[in-house]
Formats: sequence, structure tokens, C-alpha cells
Amino acid sequence: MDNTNITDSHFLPSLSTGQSLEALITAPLTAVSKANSMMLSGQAQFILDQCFKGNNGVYSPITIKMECVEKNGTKNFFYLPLLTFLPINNLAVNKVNIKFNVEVMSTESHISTVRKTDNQAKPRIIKKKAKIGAKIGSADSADSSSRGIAVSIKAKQIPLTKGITTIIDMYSKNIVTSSE
Amino acid sequence: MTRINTMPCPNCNQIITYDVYGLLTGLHFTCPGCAAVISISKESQPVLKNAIDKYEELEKKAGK
Repeated sequence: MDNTNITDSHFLPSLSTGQSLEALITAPLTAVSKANSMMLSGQAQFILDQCFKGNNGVYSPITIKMECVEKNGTKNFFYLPLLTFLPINNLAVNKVNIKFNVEVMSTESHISTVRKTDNQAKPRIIKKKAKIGAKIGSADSADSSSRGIAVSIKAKQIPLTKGITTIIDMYSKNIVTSSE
Repeated sequence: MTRINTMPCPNCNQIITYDVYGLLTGLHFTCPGCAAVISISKESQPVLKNAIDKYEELEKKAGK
């Protein structure tokens, strides 16, 4: 009987033993991509929750009552969707600075050992591949005793999606006053 | 703090520039075309304030 104790566990990368350089570089980028997605979905949810009243999947806009006093003193009212008052812009990741030092732990080279047929003893290199293992060093100093990654993310506002722009435009062009 | 926004005038369709925070404090904004005076009704002020507060929270969370 096999005495190997197999447990279901998550992979926990050990920084002390070194990771592949590709994994070290792509991990923060993947995290940034997820953050970007969260910002966009968070804003979409905000628009639905705060600017619309939902009832069985049918949404109607929450409106703000406005007063309009004309030059001759006539007082009228009109309604504007709450959505048009908020400076809603799509927030997205604009710039990412990822800074960390890498301490190379190991390198592997694969060299072909195919020999030439003309009795030469030297191995002929057909293809050489290298794999670099590394661990993260300090982001700020040369001191490798403390490891860390400094990630700086700047969000920017990108233009609104066509759907939201169309909704705002549609309401803006259909403002009708009433004397109530 | 200001948040400048625009809306078309309900009378003449001229673009009226207004400050959202100004509306909340009771400021009036005048249409440059027909001189109509625009303001928010008192009953809608808390609705707008609540939405703006929550939007600012969202912006802070996004690290803007």
C-alpha cells in the first residue's frame, strides 16, 4: 500500500526557493487586470442601484425635480434623470508601475549533445534554451533581506460607453416643462 | 469643491452650465439664451446629495 499522504491543498509559492521569472512578472499584471474589471463592474452596478428603480428586471430612472422660472416670472417644473447629474465616467487603469528586484536563483541550459559525424569530439549546439528561476528582492533598496513588490496604479477616466451616452442624450433632448 | 455640468434649457435648448454642488446649496443658474432661472426643487435635494455622496465613495474606492 502506498503510504503517500495526498492532501488537497492550494499551491503556495515559496519565494525563498525561487519562481520562474515569467510567473513573477505576470502575477502583478494579472492582478491589475482584475482590478480594472472590478472598477468597471462596480460603476455599472452603482448606476443600476442608485440611478434606477428596478422592479422584476425592469428599470426606470430616478428623476430629479427641477424648477424653471422664466423671464416673465412664470414658474415651471421639469424632471431630469439623476444619471445626468453625476459626473459618471468609466474609470479604468491607466498606468501601472511595478517595481521589484529579482535575485536570480538558478539557471538551466539545455544543450544538444548530438555530435557531428566527422569524428569531431566537440558537441554541436543545435538549440539552447534557458530557464531562469528567481526570487523577489526588495523593491526599494539593494537589501535583499526584505522582499517586496511596489505596485503603483493610476486610474484614468475613459469616455463613457455608447449605451450610457445614448441614454443621457435621449433624456437631455426630451426635457419638457410642466406648470404642475 | 465644484462639479461643473451642463444641461439644455427646457425653454430654448441653450446649454446651461451649472455646478452640481451649487445646486445642492440652493444656487440658481441662468440660461444665457432666454434668462430662465434654473434650480433644484427642495424635495429632490436629498436624493441628489445621497447619490453624489455614494458616487464619491465609489471614486475613493477606485483609488482615483
